[in-house]
Amino acid sequence: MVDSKQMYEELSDLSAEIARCGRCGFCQSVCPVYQVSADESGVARGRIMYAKGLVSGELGFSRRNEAFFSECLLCRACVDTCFSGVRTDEIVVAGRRTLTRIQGLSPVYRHIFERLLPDHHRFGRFIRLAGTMRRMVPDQIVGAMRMFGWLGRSMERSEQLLQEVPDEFLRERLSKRENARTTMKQAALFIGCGTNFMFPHVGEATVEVLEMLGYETLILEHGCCGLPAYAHGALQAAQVLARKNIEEFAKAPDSIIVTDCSSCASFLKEYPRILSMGEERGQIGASEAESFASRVRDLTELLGDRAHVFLSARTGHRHAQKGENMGSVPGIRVTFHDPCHLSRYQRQASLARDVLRSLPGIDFIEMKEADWCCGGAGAFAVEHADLSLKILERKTRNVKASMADTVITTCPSCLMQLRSGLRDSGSRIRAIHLVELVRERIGIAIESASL
Amino acid sequence: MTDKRLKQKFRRIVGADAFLDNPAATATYSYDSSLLTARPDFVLFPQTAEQVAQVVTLLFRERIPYLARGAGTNLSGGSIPLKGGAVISLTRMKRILSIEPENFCARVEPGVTNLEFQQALSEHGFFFAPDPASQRVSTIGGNVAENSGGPHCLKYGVTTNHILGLKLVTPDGNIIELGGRALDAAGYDVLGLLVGSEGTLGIATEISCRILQLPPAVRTLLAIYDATEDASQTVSEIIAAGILPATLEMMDNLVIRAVEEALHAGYPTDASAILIIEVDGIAEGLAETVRMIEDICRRNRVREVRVARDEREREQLWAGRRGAFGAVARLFPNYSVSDGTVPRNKLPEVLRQVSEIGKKYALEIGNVFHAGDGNLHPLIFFDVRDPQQTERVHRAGKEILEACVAAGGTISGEHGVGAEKIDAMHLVFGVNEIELMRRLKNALDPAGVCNPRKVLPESSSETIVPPAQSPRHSSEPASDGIPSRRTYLPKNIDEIASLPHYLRQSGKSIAAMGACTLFEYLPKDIQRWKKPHGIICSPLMRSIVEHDAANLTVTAEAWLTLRELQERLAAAGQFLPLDAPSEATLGGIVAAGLSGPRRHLYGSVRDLVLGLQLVTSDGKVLRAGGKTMKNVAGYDFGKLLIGSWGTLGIIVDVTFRLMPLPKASGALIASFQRVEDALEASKRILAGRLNPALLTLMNGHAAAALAMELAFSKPDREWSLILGAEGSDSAVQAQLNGMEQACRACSGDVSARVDVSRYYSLVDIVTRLCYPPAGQQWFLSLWLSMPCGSMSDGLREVEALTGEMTSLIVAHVAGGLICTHLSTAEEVTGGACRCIVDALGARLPQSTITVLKTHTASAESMPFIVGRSAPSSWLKAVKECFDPEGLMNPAISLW
Ligand SMILES: Cc1cc2nc3c(=O)[nH]c(=O)nc-3n(C[C@H](O)[C@H](O)[C@H](O)COP(=O)(O)OP(=O)(O)OC[C@H]3O[C@@H](n4cnc5c(N)ncnc54)[C@H](O)[C@@H]3O)c2cc1C
Ligand code: SF4
Ligand code: SF4
Repeated sequence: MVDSKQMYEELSDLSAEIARCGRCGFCQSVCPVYQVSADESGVARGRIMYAKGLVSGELGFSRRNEAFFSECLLCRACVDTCFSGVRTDEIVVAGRRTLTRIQGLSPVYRHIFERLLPDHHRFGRFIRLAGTMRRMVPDQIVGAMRMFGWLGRSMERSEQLLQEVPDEFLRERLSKRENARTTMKQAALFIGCGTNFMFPHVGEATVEVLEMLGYETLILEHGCCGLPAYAHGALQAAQVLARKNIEEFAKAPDSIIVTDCSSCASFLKEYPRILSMGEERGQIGASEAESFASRVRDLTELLGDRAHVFLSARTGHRHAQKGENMGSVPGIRVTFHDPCHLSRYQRQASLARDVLRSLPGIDFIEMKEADWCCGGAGAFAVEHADLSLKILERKTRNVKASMADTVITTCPSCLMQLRSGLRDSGSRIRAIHLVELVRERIGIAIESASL
Repeated sequence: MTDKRLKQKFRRIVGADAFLDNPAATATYSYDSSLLTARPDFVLFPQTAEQVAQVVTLLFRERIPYLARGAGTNLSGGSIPLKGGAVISLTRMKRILSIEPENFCARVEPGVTNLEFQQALSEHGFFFAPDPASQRVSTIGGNVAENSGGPHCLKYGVTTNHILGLKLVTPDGNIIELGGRALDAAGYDVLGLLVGSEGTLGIATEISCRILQLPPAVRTLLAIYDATEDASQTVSEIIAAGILPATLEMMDNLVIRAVEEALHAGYPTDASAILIIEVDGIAEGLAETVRMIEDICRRNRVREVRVARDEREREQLWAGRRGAFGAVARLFPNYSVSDGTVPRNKLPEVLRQVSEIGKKYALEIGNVFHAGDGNLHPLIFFDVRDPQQTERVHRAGKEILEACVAAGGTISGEHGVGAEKIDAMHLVFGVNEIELMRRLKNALDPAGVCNPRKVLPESSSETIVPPAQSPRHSSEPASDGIPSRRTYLPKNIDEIASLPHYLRQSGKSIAAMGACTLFEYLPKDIQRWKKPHGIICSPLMRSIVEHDAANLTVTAEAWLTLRELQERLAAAGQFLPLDAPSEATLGGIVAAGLSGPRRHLYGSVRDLVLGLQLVTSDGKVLRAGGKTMKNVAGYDFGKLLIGSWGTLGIIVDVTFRLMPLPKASGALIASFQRVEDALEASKRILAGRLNPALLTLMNGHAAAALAMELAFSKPDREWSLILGAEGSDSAVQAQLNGMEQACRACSGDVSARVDVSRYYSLVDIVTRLCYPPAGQQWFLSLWLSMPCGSMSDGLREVEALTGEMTSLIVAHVAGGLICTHLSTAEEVTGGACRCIVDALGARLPQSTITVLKTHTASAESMPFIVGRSAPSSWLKAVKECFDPEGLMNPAISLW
């Protein structure tokens, strides 16, 4: 007989964590999945009890039970609410790792994690191909696009999305860009897959704004941060990516590493933990990982630290205040959607708001449940389309109810999800990245100041 | 039916995605927030009452045990399917069906969480008083089933005081309605029995809740102590000083530290204890109350008193309290929470005992609890992996409950008995009480399928009854006859208890008689009625058993009159806020269950009775409830006695909760040409959150009678509003001013003012006018209880029907009650009386009508109550559980 502890070793390693759940049920109140399903299996308490059942041998694993682990956004809302702070997200990922180990990784996913994610050239070529071939896209590409939530819930949506694939990826655009003055501080740009392939204009805005902040951006040949692989229980693939990235950024040892994707930022910061897990343990020096992680900055942090001073100097309005009409800068009503990876993984929700409040001509409105997950969560949007759409509905409702005309966020995955929700509901509210707003507002301010 | 076919049927009823039976899914319905587990065979998620009914019908037919489940946060194992079977999860029934400010009512489906409900209400300026710490997740259905409490229950009462009606799927799958939207429906309070029955008597699929207006002002204080005794002494003194805060919560050092670490609520971690005290009400009075509380705190060596400056600070203070259970959860692997409740003045003593018990068993115990209610929550910490320690926890838990009971308390204030506390039921109930509860359970759930093995101690009848033999016999009440009636004058309970036994042998019936003020119906005139053979009247039993002034409770024998009681209480600065004729006996008042003019402010008999003792027709003496503010141990069968008109048992003593006499009071009388204007003024007064003590509307005849008694000049307009306020000086002034303004704005004219010296005479006269006044021949006297929002309809109907006759109308606008007495110079036939009553019943379908007095000619055929608060079969079942042979007051039938 197989010992269940061995069989589910990733989970049994977390036994102590599992035991800390007091079954109070409070996580129900914040779990976006539970709010839609109203079923215990969709809430932290249920997932934990299932994990407990597996470890104790009382329950077994079957396809039917996959949902306990797969239908989780890893949004950590439960962790924040739980008084015991039970790390449900880690338990869920451990569950996924167990399943991956037992079932093996599908060839498609293996191809994606091992061939596409590490190499942005190859990945880019594949996507391009998909753009031209439309319906006849090879499995790997479909898989890869789904992995990021780029490929839709319906064929129609996929077509639409594929049409949205930009003519030029960010890296292509940046390679043509004139390099900034070399006297500046250096910031190595971590270009997330979403920014590179779907939202190049966001990346461009990042580079421009970084320049305004006094940074010259450095582009390196790194791969994906590894979060999609990690979240799918492919720990090793994530670790390979992490190692590669650490090595690549060792080429610019003195510069900070900046990214405009909050999910990438939070995951990069977690490299030390990721690399200390499983069999890969010790393959790369802990100190190397630590020093890498300590250089990582979510762009929001840079903006939050500096934007205020910088902007008010630029515009000649030293005390830019909320809602104030900046000379002739037209005011807009803005609300903010917290990516889980910004607010809960990195705890920087207030910084983002500081930035917004410091920008000229902005009336900042806090929407209801701003920190609730939008249901995007990378592949979740596609793999659990129905659930994702229902979760999104609530988000869209809240965005609309805020009466803002612009919703801001800092993660391409959220951006994609928000846009699709707003579009589907016929709303004209625009969803843009924080850095785009910064550039836009400064641009307008400069213009109006020079008039 | 085969398993497979059965499952198919269930799937067809609720939909394939709403039926789960795989092991992992059922495992997630095997637990709640208690320590027990047991797996169901399958789980269903119905979405409508009809689906619930269909599912239950099938389960009943197949004799499969089942239970309803809300959020699964109860702490007593109530939603653990100990016998397997089906879990019916109500989490997908979460619509708020209506919010009706005019009726002070909102209807919800059971799966709505308490907090969602509060949020929706607050948009209308209302709230639902029960606020369990679990409100973020626990469902209204669960709150109803557990009769949940929360911090604000100190002032506002627990869930049972705030439920107006239920749509219920009965244990055998029928859909019935209990109660409605009216405050005090006449008849057996089956609704009151259902609330707190822990899902063992049916599944609530729709709940009508009483909602209240958010208080205009709130102050929240944090009092920090270096010694726990000082904190608990403060609690006792605040209560004894006659202050009724909205909340009075206490936490000891261990919990304070845990909360600070987890939640940063701003509590000082070196304090021995803190109190969170909240007062609410009219802004004008609050500053003074806060000052008084601060003084008491200081007298008891408080280290510091902080007053929350804004809503954010208040929220922060409360976040710490709400998160307390959870916060301690991080410190220890497991905890067990006890829920014993004691009279409030026993707190310091019992807390000391709790800490000794902790020492004795070498266990860490933390305390966070509703101090104002005397509801303790000792948290015993342990590690379930250590079996020896766990055993010690069980023993300690038991000793704590024993200590509570010994101090005059009970085993559960709000968490319920469920499965975990069944053993402790014997601590508070004797075999007779448990047998009665069992009889009620068996009568309402004859197959024993509805949440079995909960609440009631195991007995042989627990086994599921096979379909063939579930007869419910109905026995005819004792034979009619007009014997020579005898009056018995027993001197004590024992003598009373021996009487029924003696009478029963000869099949003779009996009724209790009080002072015959309310009991127009009771045997005065031998010709008319199915008379009881014997009358029990015990004027000797009129002593006050105990007046616990510090706990604000009194226990008195049933034949004591209200006047005598009030006089005794007044000496201690307290009173029983029940308005009834002052010569009425307490037993009579409770048995009649009628409310009075100040009901809106103070509640009804059902809200104020904490416990009572009764003698049943088989001569058994039963005790229901106790003297604690909260008590959810077992079925609340005492509620059934209230408004039972002597048909269930003889009430021998009653324990009431009391109120401190208000410092100030005052009233004014405004008169109006049109009834619409008077009602509009009332509406504005209520919407202006003035919280009036009196808000009674009278027609010209009634007002004239009032004016005569008070030696006022008779108002020259047809309608008069009697408006009263009680509280502190400034609050009373502010309220009267507000009321006066509202009246003037609706073309009302203030015709008289009543100051404190005559205020109570006014209340007394208004109360008496609700009953047919002497000196005139009233051929019909009716009380109509209806939703507050239907008052204008009600008044219109009453006026239209009574037409040319002389009618006296007294309407308690916020209580939803119209009392009317009719007289006429012409000859009245019995048929005419019946006609009036029937027509009113038909036109006011949402109301119940009590016929207090009727013309002799119609007496035989006139029902006592028109309109049912529950289906007749249930009312009858209740009667049969108490009095199977129909020996108790056969003059009245309430089913
Ligand atoms: C951290 C924490 C704090 C708590 N604080 C408090 C508190 O302050 N005050 C308090 O009173 N309780 C408190 N509780 C206990 C619990 O939250 C309450 O008992 C709550 O009312 C249970 O609601 P639920 O929806 O979780 O019901 P469940 O636990 O699902 O069910 C409870 C019982 O009700 C029955 N039931 C559920 N729905 C229905 C229905 N529609 N019809 C008929 N029966 C039904 C079930 O069969 C079961 O017997 C607390 C619990 C926790 C974990
Ligand atoms: S995960 Fe945390 S919040 Fe959820 S039930 Fe367990 S202890 Fe409670
Ligand atoms: S991480 Fe998010 S989705 Fe997953 S259980 Fe927690 S709250 Fe629910």
